Amino acid sequence: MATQVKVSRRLRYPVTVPAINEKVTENVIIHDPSLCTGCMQCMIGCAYSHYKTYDLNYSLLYVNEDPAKLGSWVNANCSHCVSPMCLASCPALAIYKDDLGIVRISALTCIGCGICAQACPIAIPRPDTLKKIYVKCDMCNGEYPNCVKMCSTNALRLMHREEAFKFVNTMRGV
Amino acid sequence: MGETRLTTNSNVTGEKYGYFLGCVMPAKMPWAEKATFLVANKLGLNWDYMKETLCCVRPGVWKTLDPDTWLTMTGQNLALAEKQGVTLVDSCNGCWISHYEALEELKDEPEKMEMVKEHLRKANMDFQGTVKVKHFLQVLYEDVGIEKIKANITNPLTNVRVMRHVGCHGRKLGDDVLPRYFDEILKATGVQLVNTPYDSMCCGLLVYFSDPKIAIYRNVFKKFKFAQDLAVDGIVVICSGCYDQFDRGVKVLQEEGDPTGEITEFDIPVLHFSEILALAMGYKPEDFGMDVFRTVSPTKLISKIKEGK
Amino acid sequence: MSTDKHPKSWDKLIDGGKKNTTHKIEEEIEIYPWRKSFMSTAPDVAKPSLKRDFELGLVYPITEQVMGARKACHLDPMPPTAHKFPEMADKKRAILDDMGTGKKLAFDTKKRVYDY
Repeated sequence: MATQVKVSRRLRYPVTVPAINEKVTENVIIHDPSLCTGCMQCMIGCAYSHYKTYDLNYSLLYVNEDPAKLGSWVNANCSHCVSPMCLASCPALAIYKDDLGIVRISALTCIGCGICAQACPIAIPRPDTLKKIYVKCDMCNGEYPNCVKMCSTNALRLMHREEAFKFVNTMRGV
Repeated sequence: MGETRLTTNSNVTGEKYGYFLGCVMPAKMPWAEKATFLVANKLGLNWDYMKETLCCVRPGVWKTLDPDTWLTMTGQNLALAEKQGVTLVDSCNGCWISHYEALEELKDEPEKMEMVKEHLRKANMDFQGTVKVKHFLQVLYEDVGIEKIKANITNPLTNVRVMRHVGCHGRKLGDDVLPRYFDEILKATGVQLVNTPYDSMCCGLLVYFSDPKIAIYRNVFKKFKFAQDLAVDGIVVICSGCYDQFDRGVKVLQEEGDPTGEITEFDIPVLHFSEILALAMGYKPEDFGMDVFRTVSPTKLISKIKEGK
Repeated sequence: MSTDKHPKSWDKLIDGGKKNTTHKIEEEIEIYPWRKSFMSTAPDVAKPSLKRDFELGLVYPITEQVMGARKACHLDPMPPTAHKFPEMADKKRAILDDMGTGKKLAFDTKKRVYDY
């Protein structure tokens, strides 16, 4: 595991905080709402590649209808942040970054408390009720992600991180 | 992407088209099949069936299960088209995306191409990858041209109001390609297009295997609720897969009723794009059996067209 | 939504999938409660249509009723697809066997059932 442990001394009771490994994945998954039709093919692809089922509840990314705009869709997918909130919040130090920069939850050390889901701004980690741990996107282990492969309209795209940042900013009108 | 599409109208007559039927068209919408042939003949295209076709290999199912099998089985259809010396034309978005994407992928990845060739050779089939794949809309808009279509329209359907549904895979090349062609050709026939917020929403076929409740009560129901509220004459689709899903969804909604209890009757017909074009080109509904073998028969629309004359 | 049960057509698909599987997962769970549940490559809902891929080469069969409808639409009752040319479906089956797809899907191509 890539995380080293350091102790924060400013707190009243010393708490171990994982040092942040600044390595990030080269590409990120980007969602373009103007093209999305809500077919949920990405979720099916994700559920199938990880769990061999078409059940949407097993998916590791989420498509929901935009409550602000009828017929528009929002997609929540992990961006494998530079300094992930989930990693910082984990009390069991089960979340780590691997060599590729993919943020992972260790199935062996996870205690299933769910703090990571609360810490994540878009609540990406979800409980796996069978294993009683939390699971999250693993970027298909660095291969071409199945959700992007399955997207029927090119709304989900794999982009270089800097390019993606610019793209999202223009989309937001910043 | 743009290189594979033709942008000139020069070789309209020379190209030999093979119409790929797929699974749904021959078994569930024979009227659309007939209408497509009427339209193609009227426009003077060198048009015939592509023979001995198999399922396009549904990308939604096979691509998740096993991408290599998907490529090989799509390769079988592509090899058939190549052998028959035709340009493969799909009107179903699902079939089109399957053929188009497989062809692109095979061209990009020589290893996969070798694998596909190897498997097809064992079945005595030869495949070089020289075949062209086109959507029916591309044939109409790019090869025939909107002007020629406009010139052939003798009976503009100005009193018909329709909602439209292009389908997810039709948006693969961007909104500027197939969705625009769809709209412009429909406008040329004179029909009034009714815009709703759910125009671009998926029909629900892709999610039907995993959650039928979302597929029917969210996707199909929301579309038909708008259609019912706006009292349109029909929902125009180009994709046979979307028709299949709408048909199934309407059957379920008719049987089990509206979940919100607001709508008592679902009587909006789902129309194929070719039917509208055939009607506008002066064919009568009887010419292609418009009211045959449908869940919701477009009787109102037929009487409206006849009165309009 | 308001109804808890699935639409009938969907239940039919699931039943079709279960009927074509020799391995009865529900019974096995009762017999061996501690055994890890097994996920087959093809989910139950997709099984009937995948089976037809092997048998027919296409998803929907052409029945008498469809033939009548096709005649009424001024078309040839039998479409020029693999329905009319069954040798193409044979070829497809040969390719699938060659690729070992049946084995991957746990589909016994001779007995025409899912068996694992």
